[in-house]
Amino acid sequence: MDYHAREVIFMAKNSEIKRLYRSRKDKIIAGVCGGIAEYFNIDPVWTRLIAVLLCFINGIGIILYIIAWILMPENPKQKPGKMTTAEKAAKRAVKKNDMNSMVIIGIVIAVVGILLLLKNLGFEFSLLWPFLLIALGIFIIVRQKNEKRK
Amino acid sequence: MKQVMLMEKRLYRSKKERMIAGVCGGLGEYFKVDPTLIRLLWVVVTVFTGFILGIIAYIIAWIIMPER
Repeated sequence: MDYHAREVIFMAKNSEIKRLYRSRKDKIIAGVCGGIAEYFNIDPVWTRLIAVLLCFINGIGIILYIIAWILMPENPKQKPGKMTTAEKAAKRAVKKNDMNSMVIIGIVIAVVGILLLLKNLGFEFSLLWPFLLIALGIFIIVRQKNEKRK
Repeated sequence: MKQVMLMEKRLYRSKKERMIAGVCGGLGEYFKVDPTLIRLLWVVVTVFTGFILGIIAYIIAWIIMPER
């Protein structure tokens, strides 16, 4: 197979990836929380709640929001313009039965709660990063192994 | 030989997915992950480890990784 054919296959595979965009429809400031909610298919109320909670941990939420604003592109598939209330209600009704997303929300809120607790107990946050990197490393290894099995 | 070439997955700097030098875009293509997620992770880790580490790592990756 020549270089061009490989490139075509590569691009086809690449387009299957689920991508994280800033929402154009579900936005309050820049659509970051709305976009994350669309990515995980959950109600944006939850992502916004988590973002606000994160703001209480040394203002991490604000920093993260600005970073995400810069790095996340706007969703090119959406037309600009806000959703009508009817559309929002319909979207919410569909999502209510999604068990997986509720598990995600539960985990994230629990993690934020633990972080808040640690902060109040005087936990040094610089200690957190080595553990996060270890977790990331394990995640990448597991993912690669799973891919090989396929 | 040709078969081996096809199986081989290589890490390149991306030409299409780039904001600075395509390092994060290349990583995204390699791991089949959205480059935006990699960028977010990279910047967040960089910010919370005091900037220097992440920036040096980026520059090293820029030098080491060839362009596709």
